[in-house]
Amino acid sequence: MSDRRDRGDRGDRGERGERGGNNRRKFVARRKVCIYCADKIRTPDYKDVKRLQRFISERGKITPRRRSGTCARHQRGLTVAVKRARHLALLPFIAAHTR
Amino acid sequence: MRELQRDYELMFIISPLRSSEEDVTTITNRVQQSVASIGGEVISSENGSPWGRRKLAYPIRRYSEGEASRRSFNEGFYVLMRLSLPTTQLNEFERQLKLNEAVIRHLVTLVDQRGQVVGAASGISESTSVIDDADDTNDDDE
Repeated sequence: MSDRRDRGDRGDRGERGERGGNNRRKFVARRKVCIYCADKIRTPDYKDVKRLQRFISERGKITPRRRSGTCARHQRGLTVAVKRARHLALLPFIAAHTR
Repeated sequence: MRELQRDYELMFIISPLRSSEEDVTTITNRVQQSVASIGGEVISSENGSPWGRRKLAYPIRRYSEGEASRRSFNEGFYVLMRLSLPTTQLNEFERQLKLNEAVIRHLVTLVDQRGQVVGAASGISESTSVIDDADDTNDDDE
């Protein structure tokens, strides 16, 4: 699963995937766009809990860039924002059911 | 040398045991006083939604007044403040916050000055979003 995702992130693989995708299952690579770039937000804000929740896995982990599709710059800010939100108990450190 | 003032953002959580309306005002007043005492200034203070009384994402265990053991809190009263403080006095200000028993958590962050401009421009981005969408579809075609 993760392997498929890895391939999926590379925008440049899109054309090649179609060529070699005869006997393999077809995987159309969708270009992911950084949400923060799309919304023109300079740095992720720790108070914006709703948006941050999208970058948190079921277990409360910060999702990697290859899954979330954020650009490097915003991912850097995002990790800081998530950690700040955790400190203020706006986001969990671990999932509620594992406690 | 003149002291350098900077804008900060403070968010703190008041213990739910002290979150009645008058308690909240006395506590925020106390914070405002300590800001004033170190030569800072409170620009704005808000505890309306989404802040105010809120569920915590995880229980926080803190000592509360008159109790021997730590108590686990599942709720808190959030207050967000914009401050302008002399940079040299920040440590003193945080020390006073820590001494305040009603405050169970706090966070002081530096406000990005250029971030304000972007924040103001967020209204504009809504109108330009149509154009952005068109750009995205172009990318897919390539």
